[in-house]
Amino acid sequence: MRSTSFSYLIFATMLIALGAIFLWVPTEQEMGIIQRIFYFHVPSAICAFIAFFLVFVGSVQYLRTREDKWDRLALCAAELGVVFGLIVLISGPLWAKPVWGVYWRWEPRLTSMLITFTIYAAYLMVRDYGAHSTQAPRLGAVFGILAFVNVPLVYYSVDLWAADQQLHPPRNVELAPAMLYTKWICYAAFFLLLLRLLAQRMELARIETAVARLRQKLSDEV
Amino acid sequence: MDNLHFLFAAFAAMWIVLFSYLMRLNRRTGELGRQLEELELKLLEQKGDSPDS
Amino acid sequence: MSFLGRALAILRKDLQAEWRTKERLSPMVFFVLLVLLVFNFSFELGGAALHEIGPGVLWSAYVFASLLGLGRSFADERENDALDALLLAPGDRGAVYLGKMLGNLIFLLAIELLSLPFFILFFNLSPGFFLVPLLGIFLLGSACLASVGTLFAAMSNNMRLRELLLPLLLLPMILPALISCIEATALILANGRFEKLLPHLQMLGVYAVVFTVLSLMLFEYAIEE
Repeated sequence: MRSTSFSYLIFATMLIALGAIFLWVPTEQEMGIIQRIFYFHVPSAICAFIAFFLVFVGSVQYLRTREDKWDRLALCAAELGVVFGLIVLISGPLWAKPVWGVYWRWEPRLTSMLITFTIYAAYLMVRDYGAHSTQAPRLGAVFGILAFVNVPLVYYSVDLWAADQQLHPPRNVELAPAMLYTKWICYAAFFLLLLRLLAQRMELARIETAVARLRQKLSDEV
Repeated sequence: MDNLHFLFAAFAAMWIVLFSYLMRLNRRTGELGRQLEELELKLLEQKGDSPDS
Repeated sequence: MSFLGRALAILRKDLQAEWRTKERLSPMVFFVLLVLLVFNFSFELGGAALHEIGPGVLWSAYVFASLLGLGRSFADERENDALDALLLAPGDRGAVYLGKMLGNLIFLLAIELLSLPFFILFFNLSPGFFLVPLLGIFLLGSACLASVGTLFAAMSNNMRLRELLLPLLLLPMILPALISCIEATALILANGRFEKLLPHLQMLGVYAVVFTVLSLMLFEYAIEE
């Protein structure tokens, strides 16, 4: 079955990634062993943003077509974005403590991620508070569009605000080949994981819709 | 090495988050699957009772 | 009636209603004063840190006040079922949004101006030339707040726990604008150079335009029954 072989693929990729992170890649000079967090901190951040983009796509398409599947995509992607965002926000401070000496610093990248995280947590709340009404998908779609448009604005304005606090490791660091390969393996592993989780969450959403519809049908017939 | 502890904590946190989410998904899927079957049965029963269909 | 005409008609109606009773304005101004009081005891505003946290305190107070005020902007229609009548009328739903948004903008601006004397008093500022650029920031900031605030007010109008939900939606979304407002205000009060001010003004301008346009386009989806 396609689904099972896909799961095996993910399992294998993750295992390879783990091996690469812990057994193969050399330790970075400056930060030492703690730098290895970067190998799943960064992919998690990228997956979160892919997920947020999918929320945008789902929201726009839902308003255009009113097809349930787009609304399901938006909801599921938002959940996953929040999950991966949580990983970023937990691994960030755990990296920061040994390196900067403090768990948290209001520096641009982490602060922007925190704000973005709260925006999409708010999205999930909008969906929650309209859960059994017909309005939740529509209102969620409106918020989903605004949320994604706001993301670059958040990053720009926080950057502006903390221009003197560029403590986060710069983006385009020169990486040794082994590190580069490890990075790409981790990107692949996390991306596949995102797809798998998304597929599973969407299946759950489909069942939820089916159950709700059946309930409705049953109470109509009575 | 203290750094190793933090590295472990970060990895552990990641696994915990992902696993909890996965387990929650699996549990809900199971529950809802059961509910779906129940409801489908009920719908069949109802259809059987009413003489029209 | 033209699009703009409809929007202005709605604006005029709301302004007239508010002017007659002034029921929203005075409590809001009083609220700002109270928030300043609370912040005073939280942060010891009289101290040397005053000029650092002053702008933040000011804008926090305005944002909290706006949460109360924006929530009411559709409340009157809701209470009288007048919203349906408004929507049944032919013409762009966007005109309703624009009218409401402009109304909120003017309302927020009024609160900010009326409570500015408190700010000047408590923070021992000497009224001076800075008032003019400060007004500009007030205008831009209020536009940002009103743009998404009006849309979210319409959205939360239809949802459970609407008073609770509006802040949860609005606060994270306006952070970029809020940050720039605070920074710009701080720069103005410190007689900062214009070059440093410009990026913030651009941020506020972009935010206001982008979110007003988006809210205009999305309003009809938010207000559907």
